[in-house]
Amino acid sequence: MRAWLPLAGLAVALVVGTAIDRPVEPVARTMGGYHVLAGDFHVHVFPFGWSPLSVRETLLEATRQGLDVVAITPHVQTWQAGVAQWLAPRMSRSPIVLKGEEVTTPGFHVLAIGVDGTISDRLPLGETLDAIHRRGGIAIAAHPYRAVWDHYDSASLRKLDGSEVVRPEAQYMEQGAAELREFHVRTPLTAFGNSDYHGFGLIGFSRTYVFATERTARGVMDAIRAGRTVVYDRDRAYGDPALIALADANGGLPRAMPQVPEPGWLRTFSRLCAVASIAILVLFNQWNNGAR
Amino acid sequence: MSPQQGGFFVAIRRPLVITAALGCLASLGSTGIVTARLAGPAVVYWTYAPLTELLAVGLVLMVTRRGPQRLSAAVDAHFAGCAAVILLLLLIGVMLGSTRPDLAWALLTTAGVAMVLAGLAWSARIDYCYFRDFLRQTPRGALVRVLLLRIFVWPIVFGVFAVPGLTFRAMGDEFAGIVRELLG
Repeated sequence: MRAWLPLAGLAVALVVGTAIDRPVEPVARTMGGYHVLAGDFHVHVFPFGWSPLSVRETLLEATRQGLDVVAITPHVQTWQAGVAQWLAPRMSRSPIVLKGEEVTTPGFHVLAIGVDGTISDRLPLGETLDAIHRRGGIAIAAHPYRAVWDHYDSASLRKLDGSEVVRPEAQYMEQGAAELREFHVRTPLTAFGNSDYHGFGLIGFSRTYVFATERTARGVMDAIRAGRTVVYDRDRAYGDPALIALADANGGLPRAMPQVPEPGWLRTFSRLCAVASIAILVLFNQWNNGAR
Repeated sequence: MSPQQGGFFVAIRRPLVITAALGCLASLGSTGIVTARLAGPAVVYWTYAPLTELLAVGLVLMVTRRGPQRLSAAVDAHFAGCAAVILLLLLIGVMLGSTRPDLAWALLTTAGVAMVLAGLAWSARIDYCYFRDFLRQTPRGALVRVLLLRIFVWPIVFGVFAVPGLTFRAMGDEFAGIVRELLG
């Protein structure tokens, strides 16, 4: 098969895909004197992060999904988050970026948000939480399902600032959702809904609404420290009850889960056309040069 | 492949196609469509994967008797065998980008693992046949070259994608983590 045929198919898929790739319109929400910011505080990027998308494309995706703030949280590194903080103000549209890290150990994973350097992954939980606080950050239990509960003793729980109470997979698994909920209520913790984005699926699929006094990184950190977050999981709401009531009184905040895959025949066409073209290109292409 | 066919373009055309495919996969996996906003930049930084393979193949072929085959033609023939890995990535990318989050994880840790193992075995078989049949190597010589390629390429490609720090210790930690995840 001649190379131009599948290449033309790929070009068609690209043109159609680009044409239908519309971002969510930005919405500036204010309630009760607060800026209500949609955030995702668990985001990984390429390289070294099990994600095919680099910092720039990840920030573009966050903007496209209507996020106002993201925390870039590489595994046991922070330099990618530093790049994101440098890049964000230079982009035409970008969410606020917080520097973060997912401290990844065999026993537990903790998100360090707003830290000024990398936290070692060789410390016990209590010392990890202390190190995060010494570096100016807040500590969030990442995916605290039942399997890791043994690592969270009462002393560690007291040092913890927040926990992921809603995650994308748990929004479809009642058992998982119940475990996250049970962990969250063991001690007063700030509620987070994070997507644990690895470049696949939708960033902000689960999201956290932050009630900040100013639309800045400092404003977001202050709001989190004060526990001013609201998170939705279908008909449930987590976080500050006064803010949940405030949101309800002001028409509510978006809580519907996005459809996966996103609907539309043009999207389906673009996807199938791209897949078929790549498969044909790598399997059957002979380059029309007499080869083989 | 005709031994008379050669030249720089012949050597890089399939790596270029693979690079384009990887960029498209990055976009497909994230949005379910191929969009210039994501695929364009991803093509640029995913060049590291075929480039690593290209360097490794070039080195191995330079110390391999190729008979009448030109280096560029031999490189081209080698990259024709990368279809297995590209198709594998294509399936996984579309699966992750077009499936509900809970199903995506369940699929990745079951069918995904099976697909990865099958793809790796298929890819190794193709490379072995390439060295045996196309370059007329002995069975031992072909096996050594297949192993050399993997020892050189895989740690770099996988490491840059997934391993923080790219150290041997981090690599070990990452594999231990994968095993723990799969065993539940």
